[in-house]
Amino acid sequence: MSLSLKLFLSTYTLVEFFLFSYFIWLIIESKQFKKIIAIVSLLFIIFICYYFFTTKWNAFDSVPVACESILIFTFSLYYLFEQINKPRVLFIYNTSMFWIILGFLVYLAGSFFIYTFADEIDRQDLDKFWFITFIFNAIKNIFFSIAFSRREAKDKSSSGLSSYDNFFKNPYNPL
Amino acid sequence: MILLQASHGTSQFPMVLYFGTIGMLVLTIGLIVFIIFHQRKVIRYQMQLQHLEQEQQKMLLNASIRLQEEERQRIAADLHDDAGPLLATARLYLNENLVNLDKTTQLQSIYNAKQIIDDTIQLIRNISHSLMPPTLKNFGLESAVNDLFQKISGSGSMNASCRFHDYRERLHADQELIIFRVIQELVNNILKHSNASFIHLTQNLSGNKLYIRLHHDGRGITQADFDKLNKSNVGLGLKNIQSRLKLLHGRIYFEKDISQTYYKVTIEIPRLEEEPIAPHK
Repeated sequence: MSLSLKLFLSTYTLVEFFLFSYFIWLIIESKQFKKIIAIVSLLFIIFICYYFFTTKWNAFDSVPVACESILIFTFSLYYLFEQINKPRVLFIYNTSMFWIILGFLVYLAGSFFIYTFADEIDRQDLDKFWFITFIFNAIKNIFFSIAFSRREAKDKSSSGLSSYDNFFKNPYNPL
Repeated sequence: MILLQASHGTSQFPMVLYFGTIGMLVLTIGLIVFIIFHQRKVIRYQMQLQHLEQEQQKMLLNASIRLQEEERQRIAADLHDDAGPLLATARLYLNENLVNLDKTTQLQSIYNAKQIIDDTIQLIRNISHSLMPPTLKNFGLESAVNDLFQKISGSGSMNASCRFHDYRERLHADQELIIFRVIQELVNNILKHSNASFIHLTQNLSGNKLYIRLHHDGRGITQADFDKLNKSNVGLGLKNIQSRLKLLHGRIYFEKDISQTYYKVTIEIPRLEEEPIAPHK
């Protein structure tokens, strides 16, 4: 495998991981988990560099991609759990972020096996099944399109309970 | 391991790949569906709670409006039934002066008119005091409560006493008025329904919270009864207590003493550091 292709694939994995994790880092609220994402990302960069310099590949950087998938999968799931634990009245699927995260999850879950085995199987076999990644890539893009086309719904949880509270803010309200 | 072993045989590879991918997808979709349904369930529960809370608040609001109307009717009745006839009588006496030229009769009717006007002044003063006790305004909650309890004790039907342990600093006038009204309502309830032989009130300060506790030995209610009455359409006074306390972010607990001889009502009110309640306009 040529060095330039190897470099391209490693850089692609790194950039992809960086963009996905940075996006999740932006939308996650827990500061602790943000720190975890930053630390894990740093470790992942080190791992990719180590893998690039020390390991021989046949056709694909399966191990870094599998690690990337697992990490992004974990981050995405954490985001979803954070969302459902928030006291709110807005349904999760009414938010754009949900559709983007759904795109991540479906894409990563669908292409996980093919990426994981890509380095171990023959080129011909790989070509035969590579279309699966295209399908999931397309599905991911559809979900992204849904997310971008959504008008952001407003959470009603902060709208106040009723005029009763407002009434009692002024005890001498003449009614 | 099975997957890895299977992957070595080329013929097994498509199956592993397909099943693996399908498995991962099913897992992911299952997880997402679970998350969606779980969230729907939580939101539905929250909405139910909110709905219940709104219902409760609506009832409290109605209670407070009704109470205000009753108060207005009472004042209107006092003015119409007592002050009105008194003033009309005074007018009659004064009219008599115009027709009767006899000096003695004139003096007598002026004296009678003066007496009636004095009674009317006293009556209006009483109405005004019932709206805003002057002791409360001038000397604070402690004096007003003392005054109220002395009046109850003075009637001879019940022994009423109170003790303020830590009330060196007066609360904001609006807060004092609300607390006084709550105490008045509670005492009124005790007088009306409990058949108690004594009432004792104590005040304490703990941290940033003011505690007022009423003890009595009559028939009382517990927190469960209070909650039940609050949810029902009866118990206007109790609803009014709750809405007043809500204004102060305070709480009220009704309980029976461990000895099972006394009933206790505890009011907990946080001392507000920030802005006082809206001024009386």
